Parts: sequence; structure tokens; C-alpha cells
Amino acid sequence: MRINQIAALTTLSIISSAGMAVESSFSGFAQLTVGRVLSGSADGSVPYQISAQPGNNYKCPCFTGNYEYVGVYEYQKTQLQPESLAGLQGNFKFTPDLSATVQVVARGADSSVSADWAYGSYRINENLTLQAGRKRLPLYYYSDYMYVGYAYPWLRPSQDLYAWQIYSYDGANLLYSNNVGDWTYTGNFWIGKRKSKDNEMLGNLYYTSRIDESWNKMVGGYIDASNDIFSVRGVYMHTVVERYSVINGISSPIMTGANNQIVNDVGQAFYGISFNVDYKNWLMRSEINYIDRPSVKNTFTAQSYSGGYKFDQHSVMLSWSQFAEHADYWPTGTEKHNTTSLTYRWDFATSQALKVQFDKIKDKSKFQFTGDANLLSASWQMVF
Amino acid sequence: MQKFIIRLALASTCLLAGLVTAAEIVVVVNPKNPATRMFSEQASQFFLGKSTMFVPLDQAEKSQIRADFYQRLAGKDISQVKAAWAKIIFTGKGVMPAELHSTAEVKKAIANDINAIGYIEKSAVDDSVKVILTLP
Repeated sequence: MRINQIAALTTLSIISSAGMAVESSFSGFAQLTVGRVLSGSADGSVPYQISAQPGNNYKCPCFTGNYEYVGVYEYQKTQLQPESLAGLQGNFKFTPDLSATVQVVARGADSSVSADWAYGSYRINENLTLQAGRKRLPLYYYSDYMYVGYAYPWLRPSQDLYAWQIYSYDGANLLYSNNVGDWTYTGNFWIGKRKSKDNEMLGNLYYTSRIDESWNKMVGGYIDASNDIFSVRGVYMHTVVERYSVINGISSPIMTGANNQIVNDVGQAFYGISFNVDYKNWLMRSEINYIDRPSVKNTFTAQSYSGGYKFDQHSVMLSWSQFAEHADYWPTGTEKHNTTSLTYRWDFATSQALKVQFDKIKDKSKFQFTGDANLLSASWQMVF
Repeated sequence: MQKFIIRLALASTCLLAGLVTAAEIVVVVNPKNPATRMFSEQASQFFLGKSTMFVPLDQAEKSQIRADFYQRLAGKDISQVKAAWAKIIFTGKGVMPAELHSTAEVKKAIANDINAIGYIEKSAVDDSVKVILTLP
């Protein structure tokens, strides 16, 4: 179980030192997802192996259903494990103002059980809550509940956006919430850091060795305004990226800047905006992110646009998303891909949904990445 | 005999009228709760997780009163309410309302908690609760 020791100890000591009646409530979510890359193409011969650290290889053209835990659907292989998962969340209330939340998720992608969340919560007043521990990094609109498929219209949020190697942080945050008329306003300010030893995404998809990655000195915030029809969200975060390759137990910095010079402690700014509409039977979702590493003249733009229609228990969504990297110092090594998707969702029972999605990804990276692929996937998703 | 028949006719008409009209639902709180009247938009904040000022109480998941309540309060069916709550629960912003199994249980819980807010049939109102909203 991967859990920051401090976060775990903090949570456990709060629970054990309570000595008073604890009100506990549990909830959960799960999905059983099957997918198959039906066909694909690449510049060279097909199929090929994507280069990764020893012991990891994927037959491509392939489709990454989940970058965080590297849930990859290999070429013409019907697979259940890349995205199937089950999560259990426990909320423990010690006093009307003090509670702890733990969320544990078991995933097929890397056969792991991890504590996605483990934090304590203190309600300062009706509008303000202070939290400390480990939480998911709220960079995107659906970040917090990315694994609760039941709560969003597609089978998965677009992986052209929802795909960074660090997706949680250990730290503290202040959560503000208020209602004016039929609008709800939320603000969140956080500080923290996250260290990832043997980072799966970087080691299995981008590098050929083990990679240890740390995002330090995180300072970020988001504000969100929503009513029954519209929701708007803006987010900003600054962090310092530290990356090492680890070969035969020896760590060496691996990021480069001008003239292939080795750099480390690279500053990174993350900007995001999201705008969604739910009007009568119509749905619209849009999200744009811009990531900037000025000291190495490296930027990334990610965007996703979807439109859909809901009739009774059925809904259909059409989406397009794109990820594009720009690098002054390695213009022939940049990553770029776009995905067009068609989703069908059937809410056949309360708390359960069946989804079928067809995705077509076009890989325009300047290096051999995952290739062009056509994925058909189906998922049974529920909350309990 | 005639008086009896007239009374019986009147009684039957009232009974039939009662069966045909859908039960009116009211939102209630503890009589000592300072809240007075409330609009549907305000009440829905407590039942859809947007405000934690009061402690919301739900009726049984598959009960008709629960389905009718959310439809009349916010025009939402139970799937939509579940989806709205999934977002709140799985972002750690709140927990689902406690589920009680009858109007009697709701009234008892309200009597025990000055911050509780629940919904019951209008016909079940007595002086153990205060009505702050009658749903259209």
C-alpha cells in the first residue's frame, strides 16, 4: 500500500486519540471495463514495442486508457485490467467540526491497492474548511472524482488532458464554499508536494529506466461557480519539478535545457479553464490547459470539447481533444496527439450505468509513441 | 336512513378525493429551529449537498415520497440526485443525508436535533415539527 507515512500517521492518530464516539459512513464506486484496440497504424511496421524501462513493454499501436497508472490497451488484445477498479471511501466524524476521510482504490492497471486520499478535515465555519493529508491534485474539473465514472458522461475523461505523472499531493488546503441565489461558489487554495519513486507513467511510457519524480513547493488555487445549468472553473498552480533516472541504484538528474545541458528543479506553471453547460436535454463540456516550463522553454497545451444529448435514461456524447507539446530545445522530439470519441451511456438502474465508447486517436508525435489506434471499450460503472 | 345515505355518500366522496390527490409534501424542522419560511432553491441546497448549515434527513431510497420530493423540489429524478451526490461525496465535500425508514422516524430525528431538516406528508404534521416550506 503506497501511502505517505506522515499522512497515514496523522489520520490514524486523530482516529485513535479521539476516545469519543465516531460516526462513520462508507461509500464506494466501481467499474468493470473491457476494451480492445481494433486496428491501428504507425509510420513504421505494425505492431511494434514501445520502449520503456526493462520488464515493461506494450504492443502498439496501443491506447492509453489511463496515464496515471498506465492502463494501456495493447494492439488487438481484449483486456479487462487497464481500467477496471473498485474504490471504498470511509468518512469518520469525531465532532461536528472534525472528521477524517480515507479512500482506498484497487486497480487492475498495475494490480495495486492504494490510498488515493487520507486526510483530516476541520470545519472552521459554515463556509470554510481546513484539510491536511493526502488528496488528489485538483488540476482539472473532474480531477477529484476522475475514477468515479458514474459521475461524468464519457467512459473516461479525455486522456489527452487528464494525464500527468503527479496526480496527488501531501499538504494542506483551505476550502471555501458559499451560495448566492441559485449559484454555488467554491474556492480552494493548497500547498504541498509529492514524491513519486519509480513513477509508472514516466518509466513505462517515456523513458527506458526507472524515474523518480518530485513536484515540490506546490502552490495552487481554483475557483468554481455553478448553478443548475452552467459551471465555470479556473485553476492555477506553480510547482518545482525534480526528476532523476535511477540505474543500478544510482540517481542522476535527467531533465535537459539548452544544448542538452542537464537541469533540475524546473519551475512549472499550470493554467486551466473549464466551461460546462447542462441545459434541458443538452450537455456541453469544455476544458483547456496550458503548462509552461519557462526555464527550459517547454510548453504543453491540452484541450477537450464535447457535446451531447440526453433522452430518458440514454445519452450520447461526441468529443474531440488534443495534447500538443512545444519545445524550443527539442523540436524534433515533441509529443502531440488528438482523439475523437463517441460515447453512449445508459442509466439502466439507480446508481449504475452502462457505457460504450469508440475512440480514434491520431498520434502526431515527432518520436515513435503509441501510434494511431481505434479503441472500442465498454464499462459497467456504479456507486454504492 | 336518508341522512345516513347522504353522510355515507359524502364520506365516500371525501375518501375518493383523498385517494386521487397526490400527498402534499412539506419540509419541516424542529420547532426551536430559528428558520421560518424557505424557498425551494434554499431548501434544495441542504438536500443536494450545497450547504451544510442544516442536517438533511432522507426517507427510504425506494420510497415514493423520496422520489416525489426531489421531483417537486428541484425537478430531478433519483439518478440525477445520485449523480449530484456522487460529486459531493467523492470530492470529500460532504456525506449523503442519513436515510430514515418512515415519516415517524423523520419526526423523531427532528425532535432530537435542532439542526435537522426533513420532509414528510403534510397530513403527518403535528406540533413536534415546524413547517417551513410546502412543495408545489
